[in-house]
Amino acid sequence: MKTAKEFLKTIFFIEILRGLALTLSRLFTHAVTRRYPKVKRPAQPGFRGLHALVRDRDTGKEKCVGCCLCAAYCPSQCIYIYTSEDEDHKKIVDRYEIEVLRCIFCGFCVEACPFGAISLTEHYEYSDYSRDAFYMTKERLLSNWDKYMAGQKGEGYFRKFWRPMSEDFGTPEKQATWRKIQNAK
Amino acid sequence: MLIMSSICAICFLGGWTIPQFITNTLPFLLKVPGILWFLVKVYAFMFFYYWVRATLPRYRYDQLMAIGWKLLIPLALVNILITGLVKIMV
Ligand code: SF4
Ligand code: SF4
Repeated sequence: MKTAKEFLKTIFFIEILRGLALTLSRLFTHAVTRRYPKVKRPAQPGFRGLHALVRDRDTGKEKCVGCCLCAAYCPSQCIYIYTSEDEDHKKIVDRYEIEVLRCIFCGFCVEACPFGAISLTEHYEYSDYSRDAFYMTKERLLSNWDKYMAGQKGEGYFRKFWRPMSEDFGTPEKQATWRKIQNAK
Repeated sequence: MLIMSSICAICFLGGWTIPQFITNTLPFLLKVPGILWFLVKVYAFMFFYYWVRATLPRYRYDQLMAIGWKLLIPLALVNILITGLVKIMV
């Protein structure tokens, strides 16, 4: 059985009236909508946007050595690397291509690279009308670095968000490691 | 929505007229054309429409049925009954 109070509540639609009061009070407050193309939300640190190949400051070329670890690790298998050998038996990266449309921006490629050679920039506004625009060749990836990671930003990137694998090959302290079983038969 | 609001304004809010007690205190309001009062009432109803719609975007159908059958119809019947009783008594 309903109590008299509850009965009155249903008769006078108290809950609905309270809802109406709320919407009416919201009518006089500012809208929370961001006027997106005009007002942009700054990307948070460590945002995973468009890829860029790190340009080595000393040589002016890509840092990538073509070990294919990133391509092997990539869950959507969208990195294509073609390498060849030069006269001194050194590996050269002929083509390094990422099909950005298939990428899920997991950041595993950055994590996998032992040389800190691939990065994810904070750039995310690159919609286009053709598929070709999303097919990143080596040159485009390098120019992405120049465009979006120039200066301090690029230098701080790996130290800030990724354990610099290129400098520290040891096992991190917090990572679970295999431990030898003592007194094992 | 416009038609429904117009019908509501005519049936329940007196259409193009305004209450006597207002015109008694502010006689110059009589000079305002009736269509204006009518439009004001219609737009008030339309505002109410939007208001409810914004507050309750989707009233669930069973709840709607419950309100209609279990609440509003009994209330209307009780209303008829009480009105009739009052008429007989007084
Ligand atoms: S972010 Fe993930 S899906 Fe995209 S290229 Fe790197 S590893 Fe592949
Ligand atoms: S893991 Fe790094 S160095 Fe190896 S191919 Fe990928 S980007 Fe180049």
